[in-house]
Amino acid sequence: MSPGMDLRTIFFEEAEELLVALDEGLRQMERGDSAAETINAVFRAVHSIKGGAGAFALHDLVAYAHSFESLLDDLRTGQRLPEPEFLATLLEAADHLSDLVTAERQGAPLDPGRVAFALDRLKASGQTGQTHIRVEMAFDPLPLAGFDPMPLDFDALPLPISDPPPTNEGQDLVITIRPHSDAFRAGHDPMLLLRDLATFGAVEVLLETGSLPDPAAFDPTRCYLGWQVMLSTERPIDEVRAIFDFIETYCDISIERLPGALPEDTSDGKAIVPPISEGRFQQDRMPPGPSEIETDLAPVQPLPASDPSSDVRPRENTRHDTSVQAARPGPTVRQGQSARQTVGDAAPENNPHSTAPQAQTRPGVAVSNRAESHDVATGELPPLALPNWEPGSTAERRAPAETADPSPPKSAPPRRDVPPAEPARDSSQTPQKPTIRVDVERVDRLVNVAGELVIHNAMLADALGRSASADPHEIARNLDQLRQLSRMIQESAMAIRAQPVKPLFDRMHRILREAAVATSKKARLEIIGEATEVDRTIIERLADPLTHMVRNAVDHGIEKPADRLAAGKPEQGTVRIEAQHRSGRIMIIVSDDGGGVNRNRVRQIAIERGLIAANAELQPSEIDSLLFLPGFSTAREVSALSGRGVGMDVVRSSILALGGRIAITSNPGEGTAMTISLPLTLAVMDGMVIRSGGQPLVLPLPSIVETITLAGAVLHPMGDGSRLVELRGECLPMVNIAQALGLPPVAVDPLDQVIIVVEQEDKSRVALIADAIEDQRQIVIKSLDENYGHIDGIAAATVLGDGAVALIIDPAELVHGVSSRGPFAGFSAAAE
Amino acid sequence: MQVAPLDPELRPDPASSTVEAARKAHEFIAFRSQGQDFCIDILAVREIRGWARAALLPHAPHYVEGVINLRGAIVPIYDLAAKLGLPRIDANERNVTIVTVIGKRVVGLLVETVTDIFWAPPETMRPLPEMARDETHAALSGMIVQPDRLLRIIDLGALFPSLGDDR
Repeated sequence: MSPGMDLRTIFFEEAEELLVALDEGLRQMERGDSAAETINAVFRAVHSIKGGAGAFALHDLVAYAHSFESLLDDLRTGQRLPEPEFLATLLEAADHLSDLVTAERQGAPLDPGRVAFALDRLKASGQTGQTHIRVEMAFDPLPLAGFDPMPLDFDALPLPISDPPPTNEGQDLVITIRPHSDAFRAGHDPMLLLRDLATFGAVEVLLETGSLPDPAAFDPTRCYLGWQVMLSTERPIDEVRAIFDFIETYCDISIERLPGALPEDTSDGKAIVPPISEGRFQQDRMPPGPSEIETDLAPVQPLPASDPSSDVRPRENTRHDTSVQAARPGPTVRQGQSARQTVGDAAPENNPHSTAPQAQTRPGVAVSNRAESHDVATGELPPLALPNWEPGSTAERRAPAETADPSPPKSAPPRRDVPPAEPARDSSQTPQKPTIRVDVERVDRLVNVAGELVIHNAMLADALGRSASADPHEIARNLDQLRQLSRMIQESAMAIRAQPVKPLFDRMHRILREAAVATSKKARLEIIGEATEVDRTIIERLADPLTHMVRNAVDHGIEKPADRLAAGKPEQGTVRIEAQHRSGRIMIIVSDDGGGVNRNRVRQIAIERGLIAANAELQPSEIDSLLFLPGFSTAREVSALSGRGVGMDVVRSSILALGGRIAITSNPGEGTAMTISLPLTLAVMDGMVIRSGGQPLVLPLPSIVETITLAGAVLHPMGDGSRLVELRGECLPMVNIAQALGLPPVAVDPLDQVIIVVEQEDKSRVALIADAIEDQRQIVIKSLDENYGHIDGIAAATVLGDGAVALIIDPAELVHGVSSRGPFAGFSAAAE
Repeated sequence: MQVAPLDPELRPDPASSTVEAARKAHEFIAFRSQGQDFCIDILAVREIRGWARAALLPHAPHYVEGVINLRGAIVPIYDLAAKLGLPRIDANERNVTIVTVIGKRVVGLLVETVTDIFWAPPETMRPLPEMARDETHAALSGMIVQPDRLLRIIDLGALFPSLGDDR
């Protein structure tokens, strides 16, 4: 694992997740949830992207994210309300942010003009509170008051606070660094901070060892030390502060300006600056009250057991000597160093915060970490924490901490040689190849079963190896177990490929939004069944058809707001995407509550384009289906979105290529629904091997309801040779498979034939007639399309145990072909 | 695939013919169906197989024999003679399947016998006279006249115009 490459990959992967979180948060706000939590989550997402982008020097991204963040900050501070218009701007900004991330990821940065334009737009859209945006500061963290394990609630000393005058001249700062005891575990190394500080100017470092426990109680993975750094620098205080950006949640930092100069540094012309502490960073966004307290406290904090005079060394040495300095209580620091070493080594693969990316969706993880750190704080830092650490306030403080957890590791991209505190997730991931994230449990299951297989293989070989005396029953038993195992392996492997449709569906939010803007309509997306799992290949190949369908729904389905109001509908249209399992297939339904298909117009266009005869008599549903014909488009003008005359045709052929089918139902004035039905997997399924027309054929097992012999069935002839079978009071149409497929008839005694009742996706049942049932087994699906093409009524092919090819029947298509051949006869031929 | 051509006169002789001519010469596989001799460029041929029972395909044109399992892939078999507008060849276990690649698709052609493999320099290839039946004509790119036979050169792309282009 080469760290540089992988960290970048990880950043982009996290950015994707953060973008999803951002989008989700904004949508939540759109639904009227303006809880601080939601706003903070959104803010955090943008902030984390900015932080990461900064680490990789993606300047466009940083600049944009910064402006975005400032905008969000207005929301957070209550200067702006989450009004629909403002939210629309934010959503648009989120889309652009996503574009930027994608562009950077592909290494093809966007046209700078576009970035500048987008930035201007953002700024125009009301960065009213310019004065509140500190531009030099790269980060403005969340209010972290609740995390502070040392809430030194002394009664406020009423010292007056004034804003720090902007000094660019030299200044002397006293910086107090007290890493929390879990700082090492999070992969932080105070040494690096000290080195960084040393690059800013002359430093003198004081070690605080007051928190060191008994040698017996010493835990090398905890940090017990603190430092006080005297820094004289000409750099602005914000820059100094920026050093601590990544550690702040694991460390108490206070930076204060010295009223006078240090004895050895009197070059500062500014005589006396009132004692101002920058305190903890969050204070500048907080109401004056708390900041007052913290500010005043910093100097008062006890610095036990350290003797400044003896610890101070000439500056030149400080840089490298810090740890030597600290080494006075010899054994302690050696252990401390080794602890650091351990943390550094362990960080990439065994980071306690590696769950951080899920922090937003799985607060439990974050909470427990936090809570732990509190316990640690209270338990192990008595001299610092005790005075004001009342149990009551602990609980109180913990609560906000849980909700406002900024998932620190995420916002802490590695700096320089800091051991990567980033969660190193799947180290096998490479940037180019598509990867799957899988529940570990599923992989474990597969590995277990695979192990079992090896054992059984040996058992079988053993049984066979005992030569002639081998017990045929034992071999049969072993074979049986082997079969079960291979089945389990196959199922586990499929489970790994199965992915929820959520990410796919979530992408449609943006599609819908853009489509709505482009057509100046109002629409929202409703998603149902997003946890439905589908084979990964299907998910990938569904993206385009689904995009088309959502655009179509907005462009052609939903009416203009005025028309909707006139029709007594809510101004905002709804597009709904629904996924569910039914009869062993996946159903995906995209519906809208728009005006429905304008059948007259569809018919007229079909006639104009010569797709149907002028005098053709079509059922309403047949007219709707005309939309799927190649080259058909009802859009009067070709819009940017849809209406190129390829949309629905492309959708249909993509779905067909996946072994699925698509149907449309429409009610004038009420809307349109497109139903996609897809096979569950593209690889293996359970099938019933039957014989019909002298051919072996396979019926998908999930669609079969029951089988009965024709001999005992009650049949009713209906008109011209078709028949109904009566089954427990229900009359089902009968379809002879051989006939429906046009296979040559084979003389079979009708009494030997069997009826196989299948259920279709719309829950209707049909009785199929086959000559015989031969077997029931797992079959491997082989594509027919690859070398031949689609055949009506046939889903795919498979190879039977004897090597012969058997076709897999698609019952619904078979029945459909039987019932409505006619106007549709040329349909598939035309589409193929 | 180096197979000694039957007709020594047509073999590209390194001593007499130029390298360029040798490069232009094509190696063909010759076969027979319904009493006529055909040939296709050997580069399009993947393998030659004995006859195997094909699974019938519903709603298939008359020249589609069915599909077979070729090491896990489902390969359609076409009766070449029928595809060219001739009568279907008789079902016979001695029939031969020539597995070819057209575009990205693998397709089997059912013929009566494969006769030989030969080299043909470009100058021996002649255009078709303007008279053959359309269906046949369209799928042939020319012919090669040899002392004892006339070989019709099959243009696979034209034989299955829909296969080569799309996927």
